[in-house]
Amino acid sequence: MSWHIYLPIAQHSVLLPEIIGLGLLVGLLSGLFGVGGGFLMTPLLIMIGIPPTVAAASDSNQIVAASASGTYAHYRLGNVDFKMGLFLLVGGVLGGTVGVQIIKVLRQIGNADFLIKITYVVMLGLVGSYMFLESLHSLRSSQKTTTRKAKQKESVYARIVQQLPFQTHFKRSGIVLSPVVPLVLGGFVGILAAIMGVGGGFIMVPVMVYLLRMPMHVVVGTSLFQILFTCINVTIMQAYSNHTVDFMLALLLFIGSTVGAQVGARVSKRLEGDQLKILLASIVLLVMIKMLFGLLLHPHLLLSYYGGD
Amino acid sequence: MIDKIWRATFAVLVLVILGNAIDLRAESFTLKIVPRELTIGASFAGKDVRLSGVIPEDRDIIVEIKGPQKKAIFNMKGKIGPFWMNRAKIKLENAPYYYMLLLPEKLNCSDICNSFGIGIENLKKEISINVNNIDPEMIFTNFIELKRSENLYGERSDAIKYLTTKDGKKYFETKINFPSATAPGKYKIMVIQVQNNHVVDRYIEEYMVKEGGIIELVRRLAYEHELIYGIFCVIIAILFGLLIGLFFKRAGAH
Repeated sequence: MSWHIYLPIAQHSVLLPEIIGLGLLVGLLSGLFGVGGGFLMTPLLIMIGIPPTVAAASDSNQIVAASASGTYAHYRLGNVDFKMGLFLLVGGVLGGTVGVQIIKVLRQIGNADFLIKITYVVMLGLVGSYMFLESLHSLRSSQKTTTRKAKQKESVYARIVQQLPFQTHFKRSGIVLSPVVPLVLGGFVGILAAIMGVGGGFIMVPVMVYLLRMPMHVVVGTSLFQILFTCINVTIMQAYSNHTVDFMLALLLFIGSTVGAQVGARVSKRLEGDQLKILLASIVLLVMIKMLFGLLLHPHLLLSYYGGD
Repeated sequence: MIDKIWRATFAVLVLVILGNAIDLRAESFTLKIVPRELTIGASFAGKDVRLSGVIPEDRDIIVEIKGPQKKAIFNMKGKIGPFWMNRAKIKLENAPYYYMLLLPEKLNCSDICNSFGIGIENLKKEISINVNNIDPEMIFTNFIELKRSENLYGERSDAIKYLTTKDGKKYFETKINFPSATAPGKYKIMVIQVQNNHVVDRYIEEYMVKEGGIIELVRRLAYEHELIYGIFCVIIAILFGLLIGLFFKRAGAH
């Protein structure tokens, strides 16, 4: 029996345990920390030789599987704010469509791979640093100081949000907010999802907690609901416009990631949160540094294949 | 007049004798390729194709494998600010996707290769590079390095083994390695016979590499029915996610 599998769209042969293991690892981290696995998955796929545009598009496909599983479970628990999710979704679909077109144009002029890499470096740097500092802070400082700082930030933000039109009551989340806010934020996450091939959970969750001020138990379910539909749109658009979705790669990834996410969610209950967050932040920052070096150091070869095909 | 007829008759006789001699030599050459064609299936991770046969005892052989002609577009990196990023789109015409030259032990190919126009260095004459403001030599060097790194281009000395010599015939054997990045299409295998540093005969055989099974199906679906393919990918992902969710009966983190 061969342990290799040939990917028809990537036109690259990969080791079966390597891809399933990668899915398991990222799914496990995702389940452990409650953040998106896509932001780690795509760079890891690029590292093992999958063309960047195929890695990003196929990763969107695997996030559909992972988020479908999670949304269903949260729906059963009553943790999904469909009204809020719908506004985020409309913004996400529009943003995803714009993102796919950006990638298409950039592929024609040869900058798509650079944009994916630089977006990753910036986002991994921001998320990694934020998580690292936040965890370190919560380990060291008192709860009182943190609450005071958070309140100071909220008061500035609240004044801007309150001035926006069409204030609406979101019953499940228990908040009053203009739909413009989730529309814009959903659009922003949608663009990132298309460019980076991520569900956007690692951006969406802090956005919902700090900017939309939704209760934590509703955040994860609603985020998953929105990500599910955003990634459905991105997957179909990428398959239709760019021919970059490798179904066989996505299938192998979601075999690993869906199981890993479920196992991770169970294991997370038994482990210390802040130490694990610091560990994840370190992994995220290491991936970021590796990619940054790739952009800064003289490449071994100046020529690479155009796009993902 | 009679003299002219004699000369013409003599010339015809010489040609007939030479022709017969060539035929005899041709008969003393055989070639066997196993497998007869290559199929890229789901478990394809590269494959060796075995070439064996017979040549006259006093000759050597060189094997050149080339093909298929595929659209060859590349990104050329350049430094913009502190970052190395894609700076130009490079199109290469007449560049074979795969090129391999197999040589026997102790055969110095440089003179023969140059006179017969084979070998990687001689590909430069065939390939045209459509780009302005970038040195074509630098592009060619990087192109060859990229192809070599994927085992798609190469020149291998000592790749052809002579097994036995019997009744004025020499038995040879070699392996062509088609790596995991092999593209489907039509390849050309040229077996060149060399005697005293001169090419005396050549034989060309076409070789097919094709996609098969699920690989062919997925690729055709992805390129010929893009929308159906995209929807299919999404439906399978949702069904799989729900099945795993049901199996574990608890929330999956994303």
